Amino acid sequence: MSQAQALERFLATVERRAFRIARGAVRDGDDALDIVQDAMISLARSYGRRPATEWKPLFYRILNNGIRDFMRRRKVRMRVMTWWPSRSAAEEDAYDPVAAAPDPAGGPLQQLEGEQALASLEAGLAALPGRQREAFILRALEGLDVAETAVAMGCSEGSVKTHYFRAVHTLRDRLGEHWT
Amino acid sequence: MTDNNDRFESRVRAVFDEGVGRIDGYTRSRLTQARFAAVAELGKPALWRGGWIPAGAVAAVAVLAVALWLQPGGVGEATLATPRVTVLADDFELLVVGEDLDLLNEDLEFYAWVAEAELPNGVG
Repeated sequence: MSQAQALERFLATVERRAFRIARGAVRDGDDALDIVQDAMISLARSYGRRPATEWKPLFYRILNNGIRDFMRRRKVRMRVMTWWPSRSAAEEDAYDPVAAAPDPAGGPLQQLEGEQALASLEAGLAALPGRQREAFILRALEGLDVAETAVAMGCSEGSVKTHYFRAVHTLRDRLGEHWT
Repeated sequence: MTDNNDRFESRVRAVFDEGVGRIDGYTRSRLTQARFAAVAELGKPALWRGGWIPAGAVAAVAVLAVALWLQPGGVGEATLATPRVTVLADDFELLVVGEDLDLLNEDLEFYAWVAEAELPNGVG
């Protein structure tokens, strides 16, 4: 298999999961798409010639950095925007036909419950400190081992274990007993 | 406690995986396009991939700006109008004029020799 084929296959396995992670963090689909696209291109440019076994932690490291940069820029933008008059409540509540359209993938009650559960999970993750959130996503959701997570987070394996342990306990307390 | 943790992690993973499976067609299409764009980066020469061309263009513009600033009659002339500055401006002019570059290409070794050789007075 050529390097391009290997990279294509790797990106196909992570792109949707990366989108969900980014979407959960920034709460906007288009912004999440931009972040994931930038991460994929950065991986190809900087590490595309490296062995495929190295890609996963590197990709998540780039993705995490992208999400962090985005959040930082948005925080600055929000500070600046407080100096400008906001839109009126009527404008905010105006009917948006796109937002009101049914989700093409939606329908059954089960899906609704799934969305609600995912929303709870995303809210719980969003409330975690940044490093704990990263450790939990990489270890529990993406299945990276401690060493790979340490590469992705740019920290020691001991720090990964500490962040992960705290994240699990905080998240369990926050999401409630019915999650266990 | 470990069993509880394992169950919790399994549940969280299942919820997340189901969420990944529900991603709509538009987003999947955009992600596919992004993937193709990323893979295409591999085919580009290292010079382009690393962004060296834009960096080189910025450097060239910076050199041009400095040279224009330092040239006779330029903004920087009043404070830096030394012979060295004049030489720099002349050199730059030589570099930006295509004809002179062609001249240089004709016999680089000859010009190198001229520069090193001690010529008699009145010559060169």
